[in-house]
Amino acid sequence: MALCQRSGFATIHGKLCVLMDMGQEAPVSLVHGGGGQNDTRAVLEELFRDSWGDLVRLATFLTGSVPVAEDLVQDTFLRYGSRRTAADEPAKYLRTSVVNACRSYHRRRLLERRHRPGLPRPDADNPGELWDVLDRLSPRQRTALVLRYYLDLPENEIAAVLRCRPATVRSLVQRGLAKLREELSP
Amino acid sequence: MTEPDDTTEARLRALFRAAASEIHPTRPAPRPGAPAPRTRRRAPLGLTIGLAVCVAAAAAITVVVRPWAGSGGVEPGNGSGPPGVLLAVASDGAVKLLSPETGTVVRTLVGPSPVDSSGRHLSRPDGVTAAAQVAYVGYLQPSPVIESIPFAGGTPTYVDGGVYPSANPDGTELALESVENSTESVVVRDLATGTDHTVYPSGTDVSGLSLVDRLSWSPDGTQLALGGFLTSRVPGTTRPPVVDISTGVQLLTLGAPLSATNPRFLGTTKAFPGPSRGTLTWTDAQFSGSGNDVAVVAGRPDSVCQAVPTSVLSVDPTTGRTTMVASFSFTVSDAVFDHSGDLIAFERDFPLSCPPVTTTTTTTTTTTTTTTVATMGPGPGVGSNGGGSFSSSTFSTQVAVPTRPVLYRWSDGTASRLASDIAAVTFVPQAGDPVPASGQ
Repeated sequence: MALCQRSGFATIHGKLCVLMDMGQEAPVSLVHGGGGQNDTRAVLEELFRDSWGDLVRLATFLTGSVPVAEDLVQDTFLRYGSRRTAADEPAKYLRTSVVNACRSYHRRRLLERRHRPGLPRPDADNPGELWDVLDRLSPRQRTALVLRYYLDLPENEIAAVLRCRPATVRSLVQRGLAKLREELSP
Repeated sequence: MTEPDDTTEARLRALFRAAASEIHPTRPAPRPGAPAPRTRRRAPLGLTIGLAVCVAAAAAITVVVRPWAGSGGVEPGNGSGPPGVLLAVASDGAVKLLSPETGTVVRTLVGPSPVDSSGRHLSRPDGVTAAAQVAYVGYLQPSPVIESIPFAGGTPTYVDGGVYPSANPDGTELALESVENSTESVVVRDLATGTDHTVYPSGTDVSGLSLVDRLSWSPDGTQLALGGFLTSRVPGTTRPPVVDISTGVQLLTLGAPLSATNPRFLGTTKAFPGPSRGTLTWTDAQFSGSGNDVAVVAGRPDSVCQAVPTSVLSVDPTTGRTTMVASFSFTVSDAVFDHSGDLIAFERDFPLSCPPVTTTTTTTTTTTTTTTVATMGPGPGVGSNGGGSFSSSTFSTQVAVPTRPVLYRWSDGTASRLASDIAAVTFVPQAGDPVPASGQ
């Protein structure tokens, strides 16, 4: 049962929760241009509306699964919403957060597979050339290629997301491409 | 890119473009014209809700002991897994049987937004239980109603106006919280005759405050575990109850008269005059399938804005001794146990993010009576509490980031994702196995 329906939360519109605040200390609102609370809400809603689809697509390429991607992006938004201050560039911040969430997801999956080899791949329902080849890359190579050729990000931005030097990005991309060249060649 | 590799690069770009156009994320956005908020009033914040710190938290789960292991049945996690299926109700009202191993849908009993035999569209499920190959599902819309749905499928059939159904071990009776006639009480319905027997008149004296949100039968069918928001009211007295704003668990012995000790408190029953900070609250009480232990989810509602770790505890109802089953760094709302009493799955809740958006404070302190009740919006009954009084109610509408719970498989101390958007779930043993005792 969704916690919305218990513990003082109630769901409205099927999805939104209303929380009865019993006086808990809440962080100050996200500050966007000094706006009031309603502005904050509007900004966050707009951000959600504008970037939900793009972030889910990005996370799908990184994880191979739409449902997993949706969960990760939801997580990211929740974390962002609980920040005390707005990020300077919310869109970039969210993008980096999603990439990091996907990285954690891969780490967790590796761990799970080590303990339970028979675990089915969550992206097994995504047949197709692209998914097959992406799966052969290391998570880091995969991230680099997705950011480079799906989002068309310049090397220095990819380096910022991956927290590495641009030269490392170049090498990740080249090695990833080298692997793919065999797979993709007709 | 310095190295000339135009073909592969171009190919990759094209593949990404093509694949991106194929991905259609389901945005969990509020729909315009959706049903109005439920007007039923709830007790305030019990097991509070924290923002999970990180998405990888599932990896950080630690299992401490498994108190019910060895009590018979199958040891999960050895590759074979528990026999049986998970009976789950999705947020859209669809009822499905899922594999507890992989989360794949074994069978769909009814599809999204089922229409019952009276032609009503059912939505917002909040409880499920099963007995004798029949699922009983509690829906909140169009009004609180429990419907029965055979595993073979078919149109849902009206059972009662109520919520939180729980079938007894032999499947002859159904405990539920009845909300007909604006009163809320726990009744046991004889499924053969259709007669109701009120076993606990909860909530009838607290302005309709709902006190119970989980019912579970003991394996021998003589006791009910009541999980929810508790009062210290002694049945039969007229004194206004003191409402515990945290959650707790009571044990009700069926057949015995109600008294100060029946039901008896099992845990976290402290009564508070105000917000309960830092108190360990118990919720989600379920009898273990094999023994008489009661499993609860415990959490510490320090703040709704921070991660609130929760634990699954096993409580010995005789001694009150608790044993840790598993602890999590995030909020768990529903634990699923197999028939041998092992934790096999749990539902992780994603609470809303915290920035307060609109806050309306109503302060109508009239006396010094220590009753603080938060209500669900300015519905009827606010401010009247049968002789008591209200202090304050503060409403804080949260940021509109929709959330949905995720169902995880729990095995060998690790969690793996089974499904999302599940509103209620329970374990159903396969034919020949004992009938589950837990509700929802």
